[in-house]
Amino acid sequence: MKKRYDEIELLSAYIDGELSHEEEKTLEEKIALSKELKEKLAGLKKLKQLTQKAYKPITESPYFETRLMAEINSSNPVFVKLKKYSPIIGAVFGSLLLMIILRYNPGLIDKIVEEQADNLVGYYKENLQPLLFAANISNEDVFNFALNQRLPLDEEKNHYLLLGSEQEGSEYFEIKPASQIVYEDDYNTFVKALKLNQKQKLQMDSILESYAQELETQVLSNDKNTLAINSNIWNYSKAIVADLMLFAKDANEKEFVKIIPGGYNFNDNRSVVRVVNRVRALPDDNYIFFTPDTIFKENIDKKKLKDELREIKKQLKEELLKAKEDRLKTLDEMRKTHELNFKVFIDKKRSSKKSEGTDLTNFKIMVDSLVCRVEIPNFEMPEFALPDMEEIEKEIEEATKHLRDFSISFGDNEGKSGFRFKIDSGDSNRTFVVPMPNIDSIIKSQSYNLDSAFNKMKGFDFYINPDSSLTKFKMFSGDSLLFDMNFDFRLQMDSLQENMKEFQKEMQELKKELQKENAERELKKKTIKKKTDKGIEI
Amino acid sequence: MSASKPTHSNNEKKELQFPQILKLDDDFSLIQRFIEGDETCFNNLVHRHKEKVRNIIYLTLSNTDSVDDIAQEVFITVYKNLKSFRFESLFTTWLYRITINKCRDHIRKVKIRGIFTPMKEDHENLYESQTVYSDVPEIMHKAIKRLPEKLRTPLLLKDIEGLSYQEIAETVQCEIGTVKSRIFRAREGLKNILKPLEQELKG
Repeated sequence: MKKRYDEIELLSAYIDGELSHEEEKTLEEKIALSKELKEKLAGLKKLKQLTQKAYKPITESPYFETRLMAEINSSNPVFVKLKKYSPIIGAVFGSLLLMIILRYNPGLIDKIVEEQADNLVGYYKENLQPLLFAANISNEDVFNFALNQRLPLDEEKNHYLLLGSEQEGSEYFEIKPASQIVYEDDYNTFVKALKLNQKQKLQMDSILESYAQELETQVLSNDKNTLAINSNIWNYSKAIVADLMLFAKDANEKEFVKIIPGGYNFNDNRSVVRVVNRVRALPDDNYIFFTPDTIFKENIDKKKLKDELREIKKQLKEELLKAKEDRLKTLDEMRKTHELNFKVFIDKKRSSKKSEGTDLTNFKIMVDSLVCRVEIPNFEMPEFALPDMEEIEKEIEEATKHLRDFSISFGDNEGKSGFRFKIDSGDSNRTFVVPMPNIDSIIKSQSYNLDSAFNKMKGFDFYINPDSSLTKFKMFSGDSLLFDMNFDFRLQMDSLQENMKEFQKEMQELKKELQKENAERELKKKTIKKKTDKGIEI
Repeated sequence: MSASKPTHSNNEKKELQFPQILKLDDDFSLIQRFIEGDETCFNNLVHRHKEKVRNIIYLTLSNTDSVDDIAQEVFITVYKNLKSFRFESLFTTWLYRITINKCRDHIRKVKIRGIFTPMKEDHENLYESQTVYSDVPEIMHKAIKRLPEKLRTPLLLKDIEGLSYQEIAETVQCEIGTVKSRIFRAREGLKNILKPLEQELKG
């Protein structure tokens, strides 16, 4: 088989003319003897012929050389080689260049990033306007800001800025639509509760007004949807409360004690003054910026801002004066039409310094359709003790609720039998006739009798029928605020007791005198009668 | 072929026998002049060999689609490397080797592309095997096309281009024995492919 295979392979080379002379001779001898080899040779020759016919030479390409030469001329060989390796060469050169640059200028990337950040900061800092000035906040708003930590952000009071703190100590603020806020007339309640007279109310208003001016520049905003909130605003809220409490204490200490829960010491005027001064002295040009892109802390030239605001106010005033003359425009209209145009100076040196070690990324933001809440952890707060304002607020509310719900009055003298006792609880009036206690018996009784009488009175449950107002009354009488008052009352009753004793003595003496006088008068009458009888007789 | 066939020793003999003008026409002289800076000699070389190159490409690929593009690539490569030509073998051997290598590069690229479109290829094969041809050269063409490139190229270089086993060996870069064996195997393969079509071939 192998031999036959080799022979056919030789035949293939034979027809190609690739055998040596000797090989040819040997093979030709074999072919002459073998019919099979003859057939094979014929078959191979036929196949070779067929193969040669299978491919027709392809047509000439007339522009081949022209195209080729154009191609060759257009491509410089060195350039072609470079072009082939251009991505690698580019990458290598690029990285080498970068390495060299960074070797001699290691802070470059940081600088570029910082510059870009500064550009962004500059963009959002442009044209900031005091939002609270535009909101035209009233004294009442300032009061609510101090107590409830909420500030209206626009003139129509559609949105409020709310401050708060989480239990773990981080501060947050929220922006809520007005519909989400329960409005209470705390300012008027406070004034009523303290029983402030007109002069005192004016004093309080002036305090609030001074803070209102401070607050005007605490929240800024611009047309790029930026909201800049002064990081000091949280402290202002506390300072105003402290200031207010101090004022309230001075104005009417008696009522103040009633509305301030025990345990809070506001006697130390100095410490409160110190707190307020400290808050006012804190560097307050540091703002937290909330922008559509990012949140960052930045400084603003506050002085310039205030100056500009003052200028605008001056202009407003002038225009207002004019308007008053014209009697056509109101202040509100003026505010609306006047365009605030602030340009904020950016202290780049300071800002870049600040941004080196600050934690810009730690803000926690929650946004839903109604509320935008931003938490600020590690917030810089001055370390001083202030009472928990929420607690105070609750106490004020509790205490003032009774004052609002009840007015108690004693009617005119009903005579010796008793007196009229009226309770006005807003929705209903009740009148009770309390029988006049026998003063004599009170005078005679011992002090423990008094005690028991007052203890019973504390509940009032033996005079008034139980109803809704009664339960309130019970709460009132059991209130810690009034609990200590019993002692004063007892002292007063003791003095009354003594007075009564004296009065009794005096009365008895008077009685004796009267009796004496009567006796004398009767004696005189008798003598006169005798005389007249005698006269008649004469 | 005769012009490019002579070796160095033959060249010397010719120098004595032929006048200067004929000497200028052979491949080595043209290359020499090109190296010396006469760029027009390259045009001559191209003009002389382009059709051969184009045919070899056509035979190797068995289709005319990319012939001119590959031929352009071949001559650009020649142009770039001609200055380092060492005159150790015939210019044609070097030229055909470059041509075969370019064709093999092309076939490889087509195969890689084919990986991503296997269905189309399968359909083509199915279609081809079932088609009945009446034209004998066409039958042969399709049959040769079905041979693997390793066997097909030496067979066609021999039967159509008329290269010697030695030249083929240098062109495809293998031994003469291998060329001999491959051509034989190619013919055996063809016989097997053509067996079912014997009737048509006879007709």
